[in-house]
Amino acid sequence: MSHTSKWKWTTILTIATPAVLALTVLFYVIVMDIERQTVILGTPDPIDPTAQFKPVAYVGVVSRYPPTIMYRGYQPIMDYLTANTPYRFELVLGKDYQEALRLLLSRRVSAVFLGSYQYVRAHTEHRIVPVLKPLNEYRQPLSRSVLFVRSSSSMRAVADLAGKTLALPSSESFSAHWPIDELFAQQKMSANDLARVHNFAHHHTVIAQVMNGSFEAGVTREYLVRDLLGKEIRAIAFSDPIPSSPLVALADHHTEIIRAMTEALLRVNQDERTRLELTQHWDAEFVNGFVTANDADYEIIRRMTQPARRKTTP
Amino acid sequence: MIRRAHHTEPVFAHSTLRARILLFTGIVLILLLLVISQVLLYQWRSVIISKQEESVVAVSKTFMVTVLDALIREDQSASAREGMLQTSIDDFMRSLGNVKYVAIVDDRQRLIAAGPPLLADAIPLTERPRLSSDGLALRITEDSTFSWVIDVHIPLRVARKSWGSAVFGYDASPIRDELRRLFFFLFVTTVIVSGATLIVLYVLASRLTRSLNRLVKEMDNVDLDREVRPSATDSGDDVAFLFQRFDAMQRRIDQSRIQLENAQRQVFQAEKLASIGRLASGVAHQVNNPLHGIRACLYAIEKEPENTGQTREYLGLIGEAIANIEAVVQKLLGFARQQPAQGSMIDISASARKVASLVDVRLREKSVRLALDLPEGLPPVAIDHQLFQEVVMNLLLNSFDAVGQRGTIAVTTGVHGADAVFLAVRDNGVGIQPEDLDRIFEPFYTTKDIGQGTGLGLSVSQSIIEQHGGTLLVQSAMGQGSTFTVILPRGSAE
Ligand SMILES: Nc1ncnc2c1ncn2[C@@H]1O[C@H](COP(=O)(O)OP(=O)(O)O)[C@@H](O)[C@H]1O
Ligand SMILES: [Mg+2]
Repeated sequence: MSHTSKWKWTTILTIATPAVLALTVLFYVIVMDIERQTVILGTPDPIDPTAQFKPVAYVGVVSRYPPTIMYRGYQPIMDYLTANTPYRFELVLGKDYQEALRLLLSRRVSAVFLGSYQYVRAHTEHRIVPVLKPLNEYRQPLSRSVLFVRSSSSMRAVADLAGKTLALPSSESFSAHWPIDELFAQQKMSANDLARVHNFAHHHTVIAQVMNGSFEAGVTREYLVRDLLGKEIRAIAFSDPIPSSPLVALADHHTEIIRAMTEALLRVNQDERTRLELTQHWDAEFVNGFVTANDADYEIIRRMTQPARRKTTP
Repeated sequence: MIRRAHHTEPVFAHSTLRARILLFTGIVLILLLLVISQVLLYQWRSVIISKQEESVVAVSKTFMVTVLDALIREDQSASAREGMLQTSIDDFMRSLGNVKYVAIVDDRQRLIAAGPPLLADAIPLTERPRLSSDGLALRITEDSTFSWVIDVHIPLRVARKSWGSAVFGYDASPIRDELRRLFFFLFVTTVIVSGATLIVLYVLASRLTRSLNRLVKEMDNVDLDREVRPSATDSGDDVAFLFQRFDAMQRRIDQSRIQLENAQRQVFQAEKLASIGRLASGVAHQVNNPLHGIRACLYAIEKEPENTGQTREYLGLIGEAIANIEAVVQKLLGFARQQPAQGSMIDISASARKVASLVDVRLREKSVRLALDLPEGLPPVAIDHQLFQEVVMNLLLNSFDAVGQRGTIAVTTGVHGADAVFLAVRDNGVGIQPEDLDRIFEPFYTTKDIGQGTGLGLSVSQSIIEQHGGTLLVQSAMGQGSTFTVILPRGSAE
């Protein structure tokens, strides 16, 4: 009996050992072969092949963010316009408000998205007209500026700003003028009462500077910080509603393009479902659609900023 | 006295059991470990690969933003930022180190920029087989130029605006290095764990088989007559339990043995009483004759009380007669005594002579001639003389029953071989049928009438002789007679 067992023992060993070794080698080969293909994302939107044969219309925009981010918010609007007008719309980024205005004046672009304040200023010197203005979430063509601090900050009122640092957007924007010209004036304060006031080129820089603690307070457009308010940041004061930033064109130029654009953009909020579907990826400023604008709407800004300007400008 | 087992080799060939345990457990274990480690490896493998994939996709996406920014800026002001894309590709490749190639192609698959710059012309990157997807796709492949690469294809798109696409080739050899390390780690672990477990198994199996072998040895060495038991192991395992049960079994065997011995003793006694019954008439005769003599003497003395000479003579006769009666009673009492004395050495010729004188009177009833050839000086035998007498008595009575009027019974003793003695009882009686030769030793087998035979005589005799290491043989021929021979080993002078 023990003899048979010994026989089996060696037989099994002579079979099992190479088998285990072969299996090991096989496993090694299989494990090391990592060849594979993965499709992580399919094509999101098919490109309309007919679009490239349409005449091109250019729209200028102030580049408040890095180009790619600007395109994320504005290209869907261009795509919408291309699909719904006889033109192919292309975005042209302007470094700042000045350049954006120059793009329009040099007729490189048919229309440009300007700030309310900048429009008011430019209007006095150039023959430009507001075409459309975006609606806010309450369906009003208004927007507000907000003075905000981090939620953890001890500041409660405008007066608390004395001796603190304040981040402002471009001096070409309403948000940069409103606190100095109106808010501080009401409090009998001036910019000199603050430790430091700095103008950044873009709104998002202002928000970032306050959030990361470099500045104690900041001013920006309310719609830009709507998701942060009550969470990371706290509002201290809101401006009166002012007409929202207009889409501006040169008077009597590119009228066909402007008309097509106006019609298409006004159609956006013909009903709620269409609007939500269309504006899904649009820049937050435009998701509620547009109404037509005219120069008289911006009178209020002239009234709000001019007295103060007279005081500070020597 | 129960026969002893004399196995000395272990019943379990202990290497066999151990080998079997090792073999089967070992194979199962190694297979199990292999499967487990492979499953583990596969899980780790997909984790490693997808982690690497995620990382390169994240890196590519981040860099794609730079590429897009550069492309948009080049778009916006064609002259101002020429070469910015190439610079950022070079920076990207330099800072990451694991990028083997980058290619930026426009919508018409024209190469806009590529890295490494030297390879840009040599390798038609754009003609490399692409995935059909226009979306974000990833491929791990072995390439003749770049060896193992993770090839990431990212469309340069925002909404419906497309600038073309970017193709990144990342070094995939770290994945393979990690997998290789993992594989050998698991391999070595498997080997070590298998080895360690086999050693543990080997030790356990050895201990188990050792315990079993000990148990077997203990069983073999058990002397059922001994009262002292081997001490059970105190290892507290199943084998110890087995030992306990075995011990209990031995105790039970002891009890049965004692009961058996008691029963046997009773059987012996019953058979002895039966023999005495058989002797009774002879004994009565032996007592009666002296009593008649005594009575005759007393009668004569009574008649002539003055005859003192006669009286003295007769008193002497009476004394003799009483001595005779005493002798008979003594012999009978001696035979009937119950407790056999232990360890005595006897002379079988003397013993046989005593029995012969006890049955003598009965034999005379049938005028049976009793021929005795009982030489003196035989080697003594270690047997209780009560028991031996009983055997001889049984054989003599059987022969007496078997012979007719004037039959002959011969009792012979002598030396048998170098170290045994024998006692043979031969008769010229009826003999025994050959087919009955085996059955006559069975208890209760008898051919005699009720009251005449118990059927126990030969069975008792046989067990007595065998318990003393001897044998009881029979030879018989029908109508000619039978010979029963007792062979006993000569007693050693312990
Ligand atoms: N010497 C003998 N010759 C013939 N038969 C014998 C002899 N001894 C024994 N037997 C046979 O063996 C049987 C069993 O003998 P035994 O065990 O002594 O019992 P029992 O004498 O009480 O019958 C006897 O009944 C008889 O038939
Ligand atoms: Mg008998």
